[in-house]
Amino acid sequence: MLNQISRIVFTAMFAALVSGPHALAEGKLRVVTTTSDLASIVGAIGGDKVEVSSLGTGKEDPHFIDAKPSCMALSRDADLWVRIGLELEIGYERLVIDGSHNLKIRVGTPGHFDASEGVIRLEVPTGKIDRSMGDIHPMGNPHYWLDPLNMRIVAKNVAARLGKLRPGDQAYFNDLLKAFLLRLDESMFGPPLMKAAAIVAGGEDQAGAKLWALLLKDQLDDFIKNLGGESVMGGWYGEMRPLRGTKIITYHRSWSYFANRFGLEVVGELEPKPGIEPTASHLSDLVATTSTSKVSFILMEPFYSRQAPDWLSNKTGITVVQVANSVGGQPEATDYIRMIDGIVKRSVAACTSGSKSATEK
Amino acid sequence: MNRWMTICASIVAFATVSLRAQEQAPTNDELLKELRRLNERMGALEATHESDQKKIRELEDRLKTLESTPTDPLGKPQSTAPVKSSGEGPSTAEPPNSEDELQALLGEGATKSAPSPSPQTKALFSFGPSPSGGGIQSFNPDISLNGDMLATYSKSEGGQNDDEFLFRELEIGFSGNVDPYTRADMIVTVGKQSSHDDYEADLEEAYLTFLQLPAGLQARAGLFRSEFGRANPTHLHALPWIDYPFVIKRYFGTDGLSGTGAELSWLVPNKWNEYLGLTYEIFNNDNDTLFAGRESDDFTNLLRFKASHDLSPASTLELGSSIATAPNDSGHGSHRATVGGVDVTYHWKPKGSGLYRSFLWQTEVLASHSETPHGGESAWGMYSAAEYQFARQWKMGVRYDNTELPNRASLNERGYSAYLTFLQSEFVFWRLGYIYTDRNFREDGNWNDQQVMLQLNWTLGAHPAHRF
Repeated sequence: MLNQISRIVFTAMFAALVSGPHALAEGKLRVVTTTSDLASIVGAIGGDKVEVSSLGTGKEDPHFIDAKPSCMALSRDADLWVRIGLELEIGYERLVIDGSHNLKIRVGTPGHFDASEGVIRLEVPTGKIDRSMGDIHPMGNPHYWLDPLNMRIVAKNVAARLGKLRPGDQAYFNDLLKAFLLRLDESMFGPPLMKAAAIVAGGEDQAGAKLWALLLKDQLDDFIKNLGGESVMGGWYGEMRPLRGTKIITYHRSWSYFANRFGLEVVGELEPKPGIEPTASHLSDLVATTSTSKVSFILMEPFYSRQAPDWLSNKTGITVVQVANSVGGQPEATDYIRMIDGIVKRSVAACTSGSKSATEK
Repeated sequence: MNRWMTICASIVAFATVSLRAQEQAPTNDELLKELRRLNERMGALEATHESDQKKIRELEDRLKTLESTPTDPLGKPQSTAPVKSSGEGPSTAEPPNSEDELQALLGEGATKSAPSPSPQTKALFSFGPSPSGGGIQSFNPDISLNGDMLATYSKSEGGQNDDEFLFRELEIGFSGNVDPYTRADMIVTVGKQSSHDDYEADLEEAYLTFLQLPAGLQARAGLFRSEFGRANPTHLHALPWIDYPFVIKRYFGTDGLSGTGAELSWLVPNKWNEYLGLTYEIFNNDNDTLFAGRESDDFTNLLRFKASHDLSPASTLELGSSIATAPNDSGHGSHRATVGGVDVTYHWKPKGSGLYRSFLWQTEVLASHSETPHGGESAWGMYSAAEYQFARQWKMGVRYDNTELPNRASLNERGYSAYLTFLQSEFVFWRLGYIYTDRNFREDGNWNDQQVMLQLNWTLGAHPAHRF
């Protein structure tokens, strides 16, 4: 009897197949990203030609996004899957892609894009690693999106990949890419510096790249000095310039790229090892650290508990800066640039006021 | 001339911008002074520009020797155009492409052996695809080992698990892509039910998953845990309890329902974009608890439907129903047994504090009907369990069991259990459990039983993917 039932079900299934998959709207490219930051970039470059959704909302720990059935349903008809890579998604990516039954987004296909391709990677372990070192990523620290230069690289690569999937729209993507890069670069360096760089580089669209190149060559400060110093300095670079060399403590090892880009020095982490809950003995070690070197603030994501940082703050008087490091993590982090802006603003506020009120929302 | 006009215009524009940036209202004198100052600066700028040009020319030369970079979407034609190297001055030189310069700088870093002292460039640059897993172990399967140990204290004597330590199970898992079309999962377990038994090695699962089927289909072939309900397909170490619910053990045996055969699953398209999954399985009828065991040469047919809906970003409701049928061993496989099940699961994990708080409630009800030479035997069983995470490393849970024995429905077994789990890390957990069993029949001479168990479980090797 049940054989008959299954036969009926199979007939129904194949009938449904023949009638064709639903909503095959040739139009918008359907993109699923693992994190909200990637969704922000893809949205900025894909514009009206893409429909982007993110598995993460930015409010949760990006290591622990659940492989919910809804994620599989969301990915079922996706044309492009974008991940951070460097094993950030190791806990759920395979389950979601396998569960989506979608051939187009499998690893190794044009519909699977690893955004870590070509980015600057930090803390790539050398030699043998094992789990006694905590939740360590063998290919490097995956929190690279907190370096605006890395997301600049990602944006260019996203435009290339979108163009590969929709060659007819390449010019459209390039235009939006140009606009995005201009906005990102201007946020990083400020309009006056961009203007000056445009003269030197021979074009407005070359200004940002010029400045990044100078920065990488360690010549940006000289360039600024030649232009008259502080008056032309703006953007995140200008705002963070006085903070260079500032010592900070972070909750998780997720701020290395931000610290590296703006010259902050991470002298300690609340987690004794990445992914391991703060312990009492480790916190007392941190108290000792703060007595030997002047730590300016404790930097942490909103999804971690305030218990350990507040304890340390009470003991030492060091300000806690709790700020979203992903789009959507806090109400004002509505897109990638505003998210970075939030981190810069709060870091600066913590250093200038030095009072605990700076940490409040 | 033209050149100077451009520069002057630029200076004016630049001055306007920089002045606006300062948000001051300057007097004419100040403006003149500023312009003069800017003129001087412009001279310095020109000098920088010239030296930049020189550097750019050097970089251009270097760029030529570099392989063409794979990720330049703009594909600027200037990138290969040579910059004039004559001493005509910067104004006549073709404008350099800064994007390419930046790209070259980033690429240069990849070959840089010693890190630059500047904090901005102290990094490892990488280009090209970076497949997960690294290069060294690329062709090895992912290997994971799971160890499970119990310490049991039992109130009644003579039961299966007396007061003892028991290394219950070592699970060895291999998995990986076999070719572009298929993936293999193989799990061998070495374990025993009681410390008095001998260790037995068993192939728990070994199957290929066909990932490249069209139209949202996926298939498996081999030996696998059957997708009947929610607890049955779950591996022992992934359960939120120390052992499988009574109803699963009574219906399908201590290891649950599994078999060698094939599975076809389909993600049903729907306009609401909800998860609707349909699974059909056919496998050997060798489950000797409910079905025929070795007596039969027929197959077990199984059909499962699962729907999942996110009530909110934080909460999910899943509904599933399963039905399996096969001949049982009454009259050497001439009679049929059918079992149906319904499962409901509710997950809650708040978006902001999901590291520290979560809640899971799951319930399954099974009903069976077995034909026997003396007529039909209908039985049912269920469990309902809740688990609450109250700290990053702590969870507590309870479970209620109530089941009849499928082959003798008059025999009933109930269970009340409570669990406290400490997650030492993602890879090690400790679980303390208290289990009270109450039966209307004697097993091993006891009507009821109370057990306290401590479970220690660890995973070594490949990072496990966490099934939702």
